Amino acid sequence: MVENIELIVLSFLASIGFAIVFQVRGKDLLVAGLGGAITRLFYIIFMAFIPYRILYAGLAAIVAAFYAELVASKKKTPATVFLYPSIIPLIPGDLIYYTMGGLVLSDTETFTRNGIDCLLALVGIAVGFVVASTITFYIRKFAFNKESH
Amino acid sequence: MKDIEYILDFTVHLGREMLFAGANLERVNETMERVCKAYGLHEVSIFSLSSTISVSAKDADGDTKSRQVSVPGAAIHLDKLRRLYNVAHKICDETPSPDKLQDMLYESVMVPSYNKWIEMLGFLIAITTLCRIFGGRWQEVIVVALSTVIAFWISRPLARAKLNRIITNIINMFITTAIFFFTVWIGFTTEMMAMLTSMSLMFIPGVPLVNSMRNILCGNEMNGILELLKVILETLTICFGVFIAYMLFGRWYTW
Repeated sequence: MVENIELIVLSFLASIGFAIVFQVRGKDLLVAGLGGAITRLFYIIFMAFIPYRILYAGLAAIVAAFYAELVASKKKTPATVFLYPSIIPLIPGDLIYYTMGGLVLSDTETFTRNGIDCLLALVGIAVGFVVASTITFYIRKFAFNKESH
Repeated sequence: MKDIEYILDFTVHLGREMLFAGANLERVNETMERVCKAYGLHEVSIFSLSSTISVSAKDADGDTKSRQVSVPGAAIHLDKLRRLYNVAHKICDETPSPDKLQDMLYESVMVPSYNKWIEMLGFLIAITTLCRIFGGRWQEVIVVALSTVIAFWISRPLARAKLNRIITNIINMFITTAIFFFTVWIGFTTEMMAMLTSMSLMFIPGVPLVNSMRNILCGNEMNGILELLKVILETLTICFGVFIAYMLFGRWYTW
């Protein structure tokens, strides 16, 4: 439990750090950090119930994308501003390391296995974004049609 | 110059600045199309890659014009991107005189960046917290912080000299990995994975990596594949830097 709380706090800080690197400013930095923390929280929850990384990473990506869209519509800014820092906790660092290790040591089996897992995790994240942005697109369209009638 | 020329000039430059600031390709296309349509242009045709944008359109007189620009490599600047989106929205809503468009774009592009110390602080916060996330202890965090500072100050003159990013990645990863091997050898650190993974995330283009997958899935296959290849190449150069360090100092650490 304590470990998970520490992970969430660290993700908050990591997202703020990357948000600074990405030139996000003012209060948006805190909002971006919060995005990282929420993404990590849901990542931990999904990971506890789902055994496949492609699925739990994808679901956490959906949460990150929805968060970014929601905040962006409130603040009248593009979702990208909050999405990029929020996805930092999802980057499969361990798989990148093992893939790199396999390559450096010419260990084809380690390289292939981790490389494929890494690619699948990225596909999961990308599918998550596409699902979330498609749903928000139709929600916006529906809301716009309702307003214009 | 005719109005359509001002509008197309503005449109391609807006697209270029948005891509340069890190926007997703489909949103850039959507924004460029909306600007053209807001001014009553029709038969709008947009072809864009992460390195080139080409737009053609027809005005009310039936006159067809086209514009093409090349896009320099992306440098993510989300504050600039926010301003560019806002200026595009404003233009679509208010349709100001076409000859004023370039000035409006110029104003929104002139955004100051954080000074180097704040930028370095951003990297320090990001990389050291990632090191903790990947299981690093305080010793590893200290070494990673030191390496981040070194890599940051090495990268700046290399970027100013417009040195290829591939070379920059190799140099940075070689130096930082050599530092990690040394600290393991003297017994100060043990968690190589935490140090190496967090450090490599300073150079691995994580956002373009995810964006490339997104482009492939969204139907921009050509652009997605090109971006993915670029990212893979950059990641391989990071591995190459680690590999050279391992060849020279690998006896200090058993992988």
